Amino acid sequence: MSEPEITVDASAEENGLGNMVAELLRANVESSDYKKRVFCRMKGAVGLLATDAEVRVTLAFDRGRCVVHDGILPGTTTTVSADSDSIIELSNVRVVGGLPWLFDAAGRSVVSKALHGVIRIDGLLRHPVTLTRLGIVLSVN
Amino acid sequence: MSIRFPSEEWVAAFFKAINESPEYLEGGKPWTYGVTALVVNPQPEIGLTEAYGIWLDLHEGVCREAHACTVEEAQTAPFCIFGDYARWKQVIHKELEPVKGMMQGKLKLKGNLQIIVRNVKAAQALVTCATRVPTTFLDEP
Repeated sequence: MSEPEITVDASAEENGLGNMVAELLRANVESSDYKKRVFCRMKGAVGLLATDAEVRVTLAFDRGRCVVHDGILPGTTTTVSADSDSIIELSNVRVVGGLPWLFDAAGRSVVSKALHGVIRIDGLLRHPVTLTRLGIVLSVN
Repeated sequence: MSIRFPSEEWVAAFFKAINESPEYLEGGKPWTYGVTALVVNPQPEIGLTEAYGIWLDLHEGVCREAHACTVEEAQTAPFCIFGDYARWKQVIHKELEPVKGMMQGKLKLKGNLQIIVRNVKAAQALVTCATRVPTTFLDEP
């Protein structure tokens, strides 16, 4: 398995969210062989919007590589929108048996926010695997 | 009486506010990761000719030591957050959440982001303490 490559596109150099996500991805895949394997299977683009901060990025995964772009790239059909605190909460959801664990306090909070529209996930039904994998590689637990 | 930000008096008042805060005692309990330094970037037009560092030795909900420091000393801390004067002013006024500020690129973190993400409640409780310090600002009459 080649070494994961996570880069921030020139367009996103000043994008705080983009730099944070890239740094988090690097740290997570470096510190966990499991997350590294999951990362290396990911392919496709996912948009991430911090609604209160009015910042958006696209993570373009390509089997071991990820480029973080400023804004939502055309054709991106999978997006996660939430306020900045909720995006951090998403990273705090534990992963158990390869799935996000929604039965502890962090998991229940995310479910509640999703049900109330604070966290909005577009493309969940069409790309459940990509989104599950995203949850794994961005989880800090 | 209001205290000028940044100054040694302000740092002393912040130290007191942290240690008198039940919210920080609770929210900061999991924090065992060492010093967090805050750096106000220089802004000569308001009289801040050099960067101003604030060294906070935080541990398990208590601030063990706080002092003003140089930017060089601040950069030796495991966690260092940089921001312009106007941004820190917004933080003290509770107009800018630190996480949101980082996502917008208004505040920049040097340090392990995984730890910050896991301990975001500690960071929020710390900010609440800063808002309790009666503050005057260099750019105000």
